[in-house]
Amino acid sequence: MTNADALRITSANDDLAIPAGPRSLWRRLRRLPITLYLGGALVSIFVFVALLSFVWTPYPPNQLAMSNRLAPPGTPGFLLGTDRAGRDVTTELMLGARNSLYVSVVSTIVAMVVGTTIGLAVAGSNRFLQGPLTRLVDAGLALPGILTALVLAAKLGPGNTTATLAIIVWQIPVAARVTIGPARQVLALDFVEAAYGYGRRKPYIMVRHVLQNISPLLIVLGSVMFAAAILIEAALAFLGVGVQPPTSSWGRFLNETQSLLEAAPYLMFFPGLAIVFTALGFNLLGDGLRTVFDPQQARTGLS
Amino acid sequence: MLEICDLRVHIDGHEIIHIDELDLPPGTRLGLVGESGSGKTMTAKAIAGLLPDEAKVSGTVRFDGQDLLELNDAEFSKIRGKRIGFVFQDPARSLNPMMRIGRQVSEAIRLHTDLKGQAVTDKVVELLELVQLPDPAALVRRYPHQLSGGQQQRVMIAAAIAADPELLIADEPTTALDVTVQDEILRLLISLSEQRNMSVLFVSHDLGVIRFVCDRVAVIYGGHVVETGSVEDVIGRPYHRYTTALLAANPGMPKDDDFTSFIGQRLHTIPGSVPAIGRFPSGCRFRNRCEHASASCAEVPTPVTVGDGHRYSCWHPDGEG
Repeated sequence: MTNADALRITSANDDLAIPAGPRSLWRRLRRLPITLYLGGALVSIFVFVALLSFVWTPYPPNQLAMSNRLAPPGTPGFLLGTDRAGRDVTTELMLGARNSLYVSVVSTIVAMVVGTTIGLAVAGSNRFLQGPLTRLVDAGLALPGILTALVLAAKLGPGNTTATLAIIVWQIPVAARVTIGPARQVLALDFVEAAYGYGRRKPYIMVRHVLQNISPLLIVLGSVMFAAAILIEAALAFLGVGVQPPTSSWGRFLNETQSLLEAAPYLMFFPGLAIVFTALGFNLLGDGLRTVFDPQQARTGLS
Repeated sequence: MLEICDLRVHIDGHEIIHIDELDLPPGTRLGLVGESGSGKTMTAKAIAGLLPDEAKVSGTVRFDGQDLLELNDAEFSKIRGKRIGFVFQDPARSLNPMMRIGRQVSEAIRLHTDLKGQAVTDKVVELLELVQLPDPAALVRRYPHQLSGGQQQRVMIAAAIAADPELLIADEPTTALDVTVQDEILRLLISLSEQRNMSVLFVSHDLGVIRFVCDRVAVIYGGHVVETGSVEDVIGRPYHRYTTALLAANPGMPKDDDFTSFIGQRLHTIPGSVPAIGRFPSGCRFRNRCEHASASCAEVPTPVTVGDGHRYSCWHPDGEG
């Protein structure tokens, strides 16, 4: 018997195909963590509402109904009531979702790209630079985010751009710091040495091997950073540093309800709950994804 | 093909490797043998320029007339993978778990040849066939974890020889595999080396494997070549006390395949263990574990040549009465 024949008998290639069919798909879906579904559902609602606001809102943005100021929820024509200026609360919330989505998408993408690049560069730098550079990133982590935003607002004036920029500056060191450790771990693995053995050089290896192998982690990191961006955006808008009237924002809406604590105490719950559930959704999604990507969990989950 | 002269590797001020002279003529298979920690893997990686930054390498490693140690990173990476292939110890760890087999085998092809697109895939399939893997066309789309250890090592070998290197460095390529698979992989390496007139630097701790694969052998201890020569000479008539101790520690095959004859017999061992880096004695590095050591072993032994390239460095060689 030749070697090839011997191999053919022992090879289990055909058994390795993942069994297809709706039943096995259903079973695999059922094994996914519940947090993934909960988070995914909340995030989907948020994204759907934000996108829907571009094509339809119950009332045109900023349409005032002076005769209907502070209408309670359930008033005919105004599902969630109106605010102090007589604007429909449902419309306001949908437009706020749009602004939150815009700011968090832009800031998270930029912060992830820049932060991950910095993290990879630090992890791939030579051993003399690595320590100092890591400490530099740590110093970046220590920057007080809200103060940074206030300084930026003083310099650039308040607005969406300022808020986005503040979130980016705040989140870049986070993304960089989270990247450095795992990237260094991957760099120490044998297949990186094998890649050098094929004649590959460091920049290629950093992107093709290291980045690829930490990508599950980056997906989880991204969802957590999304949640953070939504909270920060709301906080900055609440403080008046973020988006300016007449553009709607959950944070500013929340701020406005402060002065109505006696006249319409229920009003603060609408933007408040919107913020809570959206941030919760992204955090749950991140948690679910972490469970899915954890190799030990995956082994029991997919076996 | 490969001439090593006065190769030294220093890490943290300690001299880890010092190889006076070692040659690998074209088409030959040279074995590096020694215990764990003897410096055989370090030597192989020093030749391929794969040592970490903190290792300081000096001396000359002449490859086809060119000193590899004088090359900068960019120049070396044009030789690595193209003219020198490297097969690593643990195939499961040496394949990127998130990259398809085809892509990994094609690395050297895409990097060092002008082939593009379908031609690359064809070449990969051809290579996988050459290393006797079943159903190569389907294999290119699989991930490493879907293969057995032996299949993974065949993939690694295919990747290492993808750009037709003149020299293949194999660092314990069968240590992580079981014995029957080991036999297949070794036969594959031998036949590839013969078909392509490819030199092989074969690192192993197993003298039996070295005898099976190699023409020449260098016994390494403490980063020094203590004895070198043809496989028949060194294993048939060893001089250095480390070589004899290594051979004595190998039980071999019993007479008439009667393994019961081993019962009750003591396996010969080398006392102590390989010292930590920087803890080797002066002079002959083996003398603190050698049964024949004397005061004269505190001096560095002078190399003695006893025939066709058979050389050893020992003050009290075997057979000296």
